[in-house]
Formats: sequence, structure tokens, C-alpha cells
Amino acid sequence: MTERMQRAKDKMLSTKATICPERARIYTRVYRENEPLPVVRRRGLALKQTLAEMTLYIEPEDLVLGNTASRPKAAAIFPEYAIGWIEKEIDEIDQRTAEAYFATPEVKAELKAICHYWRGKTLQEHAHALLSPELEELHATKIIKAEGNMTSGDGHVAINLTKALDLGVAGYTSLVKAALASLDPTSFFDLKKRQLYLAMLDVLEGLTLYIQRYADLADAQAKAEMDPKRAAELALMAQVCAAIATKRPQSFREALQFSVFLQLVLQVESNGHSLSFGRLDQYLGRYYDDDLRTGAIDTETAKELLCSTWIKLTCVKKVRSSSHTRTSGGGPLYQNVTIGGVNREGHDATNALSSLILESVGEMKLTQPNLSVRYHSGMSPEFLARAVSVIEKGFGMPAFNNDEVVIPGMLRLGVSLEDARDYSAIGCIEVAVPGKWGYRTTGMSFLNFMRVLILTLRDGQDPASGKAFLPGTGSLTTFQDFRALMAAWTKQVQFYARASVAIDVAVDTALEDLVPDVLCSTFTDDCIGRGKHLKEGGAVYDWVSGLQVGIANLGNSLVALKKLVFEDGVIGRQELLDALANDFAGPQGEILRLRLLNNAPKFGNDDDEVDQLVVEAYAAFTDEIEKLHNTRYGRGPSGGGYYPGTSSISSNVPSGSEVGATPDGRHAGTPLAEGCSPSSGTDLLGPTAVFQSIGKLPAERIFGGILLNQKLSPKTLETPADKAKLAAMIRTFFDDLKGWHVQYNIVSRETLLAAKKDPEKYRDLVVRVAGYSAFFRDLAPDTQDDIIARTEHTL
Amino acid sequence: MKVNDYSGGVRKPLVFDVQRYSTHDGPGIRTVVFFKGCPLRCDWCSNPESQKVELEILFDSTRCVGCRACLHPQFGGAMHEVEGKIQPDRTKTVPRALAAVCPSLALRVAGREVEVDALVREVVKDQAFFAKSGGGVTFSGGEPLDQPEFLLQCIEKLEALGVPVAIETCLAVESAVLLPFLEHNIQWLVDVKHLDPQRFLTRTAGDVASVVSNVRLVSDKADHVAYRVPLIPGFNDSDSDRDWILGFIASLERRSLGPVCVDVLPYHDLAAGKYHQLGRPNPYTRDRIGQETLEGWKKAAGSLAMTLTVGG
Repeated sequence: MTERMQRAKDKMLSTKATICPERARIYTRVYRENEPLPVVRRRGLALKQTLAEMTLYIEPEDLVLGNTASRPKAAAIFPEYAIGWIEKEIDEIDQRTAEAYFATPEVKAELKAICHYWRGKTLQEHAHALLSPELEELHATKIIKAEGNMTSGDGHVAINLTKALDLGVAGYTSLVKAALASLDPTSFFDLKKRQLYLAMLDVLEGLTLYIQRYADLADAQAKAEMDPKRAAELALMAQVCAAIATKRPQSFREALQFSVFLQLVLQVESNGHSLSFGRLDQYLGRYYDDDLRTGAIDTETAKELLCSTWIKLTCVKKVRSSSHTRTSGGGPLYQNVTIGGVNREGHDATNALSSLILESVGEMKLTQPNLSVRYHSGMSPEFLARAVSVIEKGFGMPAFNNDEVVIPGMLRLGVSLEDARDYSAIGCIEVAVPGKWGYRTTGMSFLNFMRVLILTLRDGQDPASGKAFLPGTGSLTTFQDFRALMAAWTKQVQFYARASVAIDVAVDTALEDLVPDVLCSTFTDDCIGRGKHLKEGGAVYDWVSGLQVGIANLGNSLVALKKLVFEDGVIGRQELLDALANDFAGPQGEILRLRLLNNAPKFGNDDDEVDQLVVEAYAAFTDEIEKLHNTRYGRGPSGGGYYPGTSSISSNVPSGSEVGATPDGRHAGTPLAEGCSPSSGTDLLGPTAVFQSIGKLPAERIFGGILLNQKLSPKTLETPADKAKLAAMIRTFFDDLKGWHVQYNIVSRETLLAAKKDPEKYRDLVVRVAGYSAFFRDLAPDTQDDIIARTEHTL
Repeated sequence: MKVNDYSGGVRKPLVFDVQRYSTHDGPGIRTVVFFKGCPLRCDWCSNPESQKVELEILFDSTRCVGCRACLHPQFGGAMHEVEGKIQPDRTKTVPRALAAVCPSLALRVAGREVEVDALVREVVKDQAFFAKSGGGVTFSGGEPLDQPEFLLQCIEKLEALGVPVAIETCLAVESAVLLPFLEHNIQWLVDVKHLDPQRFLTRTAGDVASVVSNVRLVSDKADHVAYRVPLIPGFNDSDSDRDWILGFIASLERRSLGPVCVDVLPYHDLAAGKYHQLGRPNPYTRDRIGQETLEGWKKAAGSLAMTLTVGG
């Protein structure tokens, strides 16, 4: 890393997160002034106006330009999604234990006034209005959580940057104008399309304005700059911006800058997170190769541009409600960059830029971008070794996705072979064909499997709320045998699968009606062709998944019930129910808890009995969810269905806090297992056994992703032979066991404990949370503890 | 030579652990099978539960939650209560079923009886990892060659499955026992603890002359042999011990090609807890080996053109 980038990083780390009211102010004004216009037009105009008016800045270290709010690490406010939490929490927002944001009294007062206008108009209120009383009641129990999706946009999407770079703003403007010209004014459908096209033209104009404003700002600063070297850089940036304000980029610099502008502006349009770059090494690779060849750029310069980009991305902030903050620990934006994999023809796609991206991300050690490497069996040993040497740095990146399961899985869904080969990670571990896939390939809605298991033992009654939404499936004291319990589980979990989709339908409808994303739709195929925005079914492909939490706990609980209650009878049925209700109180309760914990197999130890129960119990959910449709079904996209997903981010901690004691010997309120990883401290046979257990899950069906975090002691990577062993282990997991994903935390327990005690000293410590990395000090204390507790494999 | 001290009859093969993802007991990623029963029983042994050829109770009273499940008559009094304290009765035979009874894992049973096919099935679970990393299965102990027929059957089955095998051995066995193993392609990890008969006898239960002749035999006949020296303070860590041991290894007639590989395993006292849990005195407590000593070994090995690693 250059000295300048180190300075920029230090500055960014010591900058406090703040709240910026500009976007909220401009959006509110434009909405007010244009009330007769359809929503899609108002949103187009509001974005255009924001891009025309918002504060732009250039930091002295910047080599790549762009911003989403008036200062680095300032979070814009999106009142059209939700205001309830803002009104309730804004006064205390600088006092939060996790992720505080600073705001002056004036800003707080202005936001409250802005919120006043939005009362009764927000996404959240509209979504609730669409929920039936029964669903509203069910949602209130938090067995299913959809708050993230009612208080912000969908996100989890990548636009078609390959095409965007080929056409530029002008090319897209022509496409939209041509589509507009072909409409039939007597058609109801075309009337709707017309509104979308007009909005698209507005946002394209806004984009040009924004880029041109940056050209002007850089030019003005260049003229005022005393240092000739910096003046030249500013002049060059001005030139780059001017070149791409309407026309398509011609060089690596221009192509990177255009990609970054789009990435940032999309995050002004919507606060849906996991807005991803797709395959950055692929669409920028040819510009890089050409410029290297002609000598227009050298490797070091290109690397510094990338480093500057990563700082830019880390300066983007999203302020969430305090409850949603617990689910997304560390304030992540999950801006994913994917490299590697095979190309559309099936050959190794790794290029010079792939290595440079890997290297630059490894040097910066930031939380953004969230870097994913697409593994495939033909990946060169050299590239895998490079990836391992970045893993060794211990900030949790890169994560791996596996072409060997994702591509066949996509074919199974009906994606074309070339598109399947062109997939990228979105956000954390989930995948989509960038630029052709709808929102939320996974995310934003959580089903707590352990709440469902507990109520399965109690004839459908949820002990936390006292409610029974599906009574009559029997209770632990009445089940004839273990199979009867599994039958009841199937009925219950399928009921909650349908309920989660029922909630989704309401929320998706509200999102479609109130907050369509015009810019994102413009750059996603085939919204222009169909004249539909993404929520109306504009995307070529559109599958979604929610997230299921507590996978390992489910299997561990079921096997303990099977073995200790039903088979051996060493634990009585009523005895267990009582112990769960009173959280294993008293010495006898503790003995019973230890029995559940130590005398039954645990997921993650390559034990077929428990592993197969995880597979079976999860399949009951999958069978049902695969039958259900999202709101775009039959409206254009290929698919329109659901699949399961385990990328539960940090929600295992808050979800655990809402579950009482469980039959795996887990105390009430403690975290659930994260993602699809084993429960903390229960994988005792090392990483190969964990891989074997995970490998038994049907990755081609659990297409929202199978998330596996492994923590290795730094000692296991000391020698070149050790690193080669890690590479071999990763290859085996992917080639032979068909794993979906793995990522590593290589930070010793001692370091984490020290960082918890003295956060200031470790302010740059980045750790893997679950599918993404976060600054350790930004995590809530209970999430910090959860990360410390995860089993560290060593020898 | 005292091979083992069990008396007559057919004994079931015993292992006390199967450890996956081992990266320091031979090349690549390995699964290590630890046999129970060892003729040498060195005083510094870091796996004291590996020595006896019978099931043994490891008991950590601090973890006992007093559930009394282990006192059930079906366990034949292997655990009993003395003055209100639950503890092992080491005069009694340990029943197999005792292994699964303790909820808090205060009580564990070292050793389980195994059959060839079941053990092979268990150890090849990670075969895919072996194949990609150049690893395999390592038989260790205890002393694997102390159960030679069983070991040979395992090795033959593994060879048929294409799984590379290593044996970690002290070679304190009859030479005749070794011969059939030398017919197989095995990575040998051979202990060289000392060459001095007197010294050897004071701290182990073995006869150095036969060990030495076995080391020569294996070196002469096997394709892949590496040497391991447990470096024990007060036993073999002096400069003259070092020169003697390394000099001996250097002098061996070797069939293996390439440089001589010596792995030094410095003494540690991590087994103290296990001695306590076995109800035995810890026969050897010393300070750890200093960095200076290790440097001396590295230097000496270097001057003999040997490759020396520390700790596998």
C-alpha cells in the first residue's frame, strides 16, 4: 500500500460516522412538488434532483471520485422507506452500543420535521397495511422477521456493468428513447411503460449531471492546487469524468470510475444493501490489459486506483434501526466484488486484473469490498496460493464460492449455460447472474427454525408469545415415536414456510408500489425491453430466498431427542419440556443439559446420524418453499420461485436471544449457530470433518447459499507446507464434497479478547462475521462474544 | 526383550484415538490412529493413556456434577464412592459401556475395541483430502507394531483402497515382526531416542540393542524412512547425546534416496493432567527445551547434510 493510501485509510478509520440530511431533504421536496405524478416518475425526478444538488467533495487522497452523502462516512436518510424508527431513535442515535451515528441537534430537528411529511406514506406502513391480521400477529412474534425489508430497499443485486461500459449513458439514453418511441398510446400497459421510460430518462440525465459536476469540481480544484503533482492528478480526474459523463468509457481509468459512480449512485437511489459489482475482473480486465499494453497505465498506478476505490466503498454508510443493526452486525454494506471462476465459454477466467484486485484488497484490509473468489477445479495452483496468502492476513477475505456446484445448480433452475458460467456472488455468499437477476437473491427475511422446533414440541404453541398458529400437530408427550415428531415438524415448518412467503408477498407488493428503483432497473436486463421495473418483473431471471436460522441447532436438537428421549429413554419427555421451560434450572437441570450437550452427536463431526437429520429436517422446508412463487412469477422473468438459504449474517445472535432453552443443551437467549456452521465449540474433529458434514447438504437445492465460517489458529498457516495443506483442503471441499462456500477467520482468540477489552488499540481489526467482514469494534458486544466462542481449529 | 505384559489369550485390538486433520505426522493431511499398548512406556510419555493394553478410566473430578450415573451396579464397581467422593476403583475391570455414561465428560474411558473393517471405514472418510494433499493414514500409538497382525490387515485393506500409510514406531519389537511390513510401501517414522543401553533402560522398558538393529533393518530395507527424536531434558539433550544420536542416524545404510530427514520433538509437560486423571504419578517433570539447544541441533544436522525440522 502506498503511503498516501495508508494516510487515507487512517483518516477514514478515525472519521466518525454521521448522518446527512441532504438526500432526505431533496427527496421530500421533490415528492411534495410532484404529488400528481406516478411514484416511478417522482422517484426518477427525486434522484435526478439529488444528483444535481447534493454536496460533492474530493478528499486530498482521492484518486477515484464519488460520494453518496455530504461527507465521508455520512449516512443518507431514506424516509420513504420507514420513519418510525427514525422518529423513535434519532435522539439517541449517537449513544448506541453498536454503530453510533453522530448528528447535530439541527440535523435531528430537520429530520423529525421531514418525517412529519412521510407519516402514513412509507413503505413500512404500506406493507403492514397489506398484512392480514393473522400474519401481522405472526410477524409480531418474530418467528419470522421481515423488518429489514420493510425499512429499506431490496438490494442484493448487481447491474449489467459489462453492457453499461459498452454503451455509456448516451447508449442507454438512445435505447430508452427508442423504446419510448415505439409505444402505443391507446394501450394501458404502454401508458405504464411510458412513465417508467420517462423516469429512466430523468435518472440518466441525473447521472450525467452528477458526473459532469465532478468534472467541474476536479477542474476547479486542479486550478487552485499549489502542488503541481496533485494538480495534474485532479486535472486528469476532471478529464476522465468529462469523458464519461455521456460517452462510453475508453480506458481502464474511465471504466473503473464509471463503475464506481454507478455503484455509488445506486446507493443514493436505494438503501437496499448488498449492491454488488459482479465480476469486476472480467468487465474491467480488457481495459486493463489494453492500457498495460499501450503503456497508458502501469501496475502500481492501477493498484493505487483500486485501493482508492476500496476506501471510497468503505466510506459508504447505511444507518439502520437498532434492532436491524443487531442482525447486520458492524454496519456492513456487503458491496461484493467477485473475481476468478470460469468464463462464458467454460475456461479459466482469471486474468492479470484478478490478481491485482486480490492483492489490493489484501493490502488495504478493509471491510469493503466484500471479496469473493469463484473457485473452479481448473483454478491454477498459483492463483489459489495467492488467495490463501490473503486469507492468512486474517481479515476474512476472500471468501470462496464454488463453480462446481453453482453452475450445475443454475442449470437445474433453467438458467442458460453461458449465463450460469457468468454468475457472481451478490453481497455475501449468494449468487446471481449479474445484470440479469432480480433483487434479493437471498436476504432480508429470516425464519427462526428453533422457534419452530420448540413449538413443534408443544402442539404448535410458541412459548414466547403464547400463541398457537397451527395447533393440533401433537406434542412431545403424545408423539408415538420419533417419526411422529418429524411428521409434526414437517407440518409446522411448512406452515411457516408459507407464512414467510405470505409476508414476502405483502412486502414485495409494497416495494413495487412505493419504491421502484429506476436507475437500477435501467441497467438491469431486460427492464427496458419489457418496459417493467425490477419489481414488476423486469429481470431476465428472478428467484429469491429468505434465510433460515439455527440449522446446526436443529439437527443437534433432533438427534438428542431421537437418541436420549425416544431410543434410550434416559431423559423423560415431560422432564425435558420442564427443563426447557425453566432453562435447565437447578443441579438436575444442569445434568440434563450436559447430557443433551455431551451424550448425543453434533453436526460438524461427520456423524451420519445427526447430519442426515439436518438434511431431512431442512428438506421438509425446502420441499414446501420450492413450490411457492414470488410476486414476479408469470410476469416476465424466468423462475419467479423460491429456494432456501443459510446466509443468516449476524442474526444468529438476536435470533438466539429470542429462543428459550433448546434440546441441544443450549441455554435460553444464547446465540444460535451462525449460517450453516456447526454450533460453537461442538465441532471437535477438525475442519475436514466439518467439511464432510456440510458436504452432505444438497447444495444444488439450498441455492441461497450454505455459509461456512471456519476459524483457524494463525499457527496453522506458519509454513509454506501448512499453506499448501489449506489449499488442498479447500480444493477437496469444493471438488469432491461439492461445498458451496467457505471463508476463514485467522485471528487468535487472544487477539479478539484483547480487542474487546481495548477497542481503540484494535480499531483496524477486521473479522469475518458471517458472509462478510466487519470492523470488530463496530460489533455489538454479544456478537463479539459469539465470534470469540467459535471453535478454533488447531493442532 | 519385554514386548508387552498382557498374559495369554486372544486380545482385541485397542485404539485410544482417531485424529483427523493431522498435519504433523507424515506428509499432507492425515488421519492418525493411536493404538493402545506400548512396550517402552517412556517416563516422559505425553500420552500415558496409550501405554496399557486395557481400557482405563480418565477421571477429572473437577468436572464431576455428582449425577451418580457411573455408580450403577451394571458397571461392576469400576467407579465407586469413597468418603463422599466419586472416584475410579482401579482394581476393577473397566466395562465398555462406562464410556457413554457421564454427562459432563468428567469420566472418559481411554481405549476402544476395534475391528479391521470398521476401523478402515472410519479412517478412509477423509480419503479425498489425502488424495489432494498427498496425505494418508498414520498408525501411531502406543506402539502400532505391538498389534502386528491387526495392523497388517489394516494396511493391506488400505493399500487395496489406494490410501498411503505411515507407521510411527519406537521399533521395540522382535525383528521377525517387522519383516512382513517391509514388504509394503510404508512411510516409516522411526523413533531414535538414545543409543546408550544404560540410559535407555533407566527411562524406558526397552532394550536398546534390538531397537538399534531394527532401525538399521528398516533403514536398509524400506524406501521411505524419516527419523524422529523426542528431545528430552536430562535424557538426550546434551551436546554429546546430540552428536551421538545424529552421528548414528548419519551412519545408517539407507535405501531411501534424498537427504536424511530428522524431526525433533521437544519435550512438553502437557500430559501432566492426564497422569492425574489416570491416577498415576507423573514420572518426569522438567523444564522445556531451550531455543539454544534447538539451534544446536539444527546446526549439527546441517553440518551432516540432514534436513531437520522441529515439531513435525
